[in-house]
Amino acid sequence: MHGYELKAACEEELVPASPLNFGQVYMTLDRLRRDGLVAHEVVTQSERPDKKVYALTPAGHRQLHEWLQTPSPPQTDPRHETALKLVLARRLAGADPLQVVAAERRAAFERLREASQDRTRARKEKPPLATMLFLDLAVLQLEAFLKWLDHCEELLRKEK
Amino acid sequence: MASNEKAAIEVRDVTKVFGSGEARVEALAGVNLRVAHGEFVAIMGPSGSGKSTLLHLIGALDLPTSGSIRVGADDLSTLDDNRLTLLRRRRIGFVFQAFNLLDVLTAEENVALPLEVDGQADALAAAAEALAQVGLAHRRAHLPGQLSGGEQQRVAIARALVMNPLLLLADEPTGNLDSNHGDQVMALLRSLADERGQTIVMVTHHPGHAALADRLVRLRDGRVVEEQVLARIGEKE
Repeated sequence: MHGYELKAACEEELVPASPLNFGQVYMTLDRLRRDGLVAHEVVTQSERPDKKVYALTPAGHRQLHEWLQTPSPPQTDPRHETALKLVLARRLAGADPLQVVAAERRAAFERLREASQDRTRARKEKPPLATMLFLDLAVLQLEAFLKWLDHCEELLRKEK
Repeated sequence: MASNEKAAIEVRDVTKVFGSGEARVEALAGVNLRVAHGEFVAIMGPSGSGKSTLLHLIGALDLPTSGSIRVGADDLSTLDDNRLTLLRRRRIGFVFQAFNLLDVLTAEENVALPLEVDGQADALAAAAEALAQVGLAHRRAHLPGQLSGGEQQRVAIARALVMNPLLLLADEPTGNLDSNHGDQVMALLRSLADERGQTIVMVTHHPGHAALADRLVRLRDGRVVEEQVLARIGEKE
């Protein structure tokens, strides 16, 4: 594949709805080449500039398979900020952690509503599996976050 | 909506007390709630917050200790037992967590039952139509035991709709279903609201299912503590 094809494939299937910029694609390919994980050959084209067609090297294949089989580290989730807010609101005079819960919950329900809508729309169009995986992840993470907020509320009320 | 326009449901200062003395439990402690025609409302809240009690009172399955409930033009407290029975039968469709279908009747016969009890002609034809609406025309001759949980709940929804009720009341309609069938039942409820303008009040503890309603109402200790209107489906493109 050459750079443009890689970019299109990524956007279509791997990470839908998040466009890559060319600079990012070529910088990454360059780094991988330097590390010996990909190699390219130059294909001459009569009517256009020559293009570089990239492929994984044996070392690249090995590293890719290793990565697939290594459990992912926990995602750094920006919503953990909520936990910090709850803890701080308990200690700060004039702050109410239950109000923090309520505000977070309203925002999360709005996001969940959107994510559910996106998923319902997508289902009607029989999207590629990769698209469904991402849409389901968004919905299920928000549901889990909302359940956690309910749980926090019960703990905070018990403490009062 | 203008405040003097008749709502589908108007709950005013409703309390409900069970038992007395030391066993006294105040399930509802002064609830106010208005539901517009065609609105889809989800009631949430921790267990014991009064969700199901409120739904039962709106459905005239039980009477409030104080306060008033209006369904359409009817103030429930002014109706005698006979008229309450007719209201439940003709104007309110119920869907429960346990599908409550009769095992020995086919899907079609289960759906036809409310019409037959009401002495209406052509009950089976209307039942077939209601089953088609929930996407189960091909299952009409099956017994409940031959259907999946999701299909049984859709039969129960068809039964609730067959009288063209003013209200559809659903108490944890997805509580007994796996996530796939639960999603299907929710998609069906959403489409009833969108396509028929069906007024729906649903009790649920499932955030993803509540998020499909037009408005969330949160109960705690027998009171409405929060309401949230969600953007209507399809509004945001």
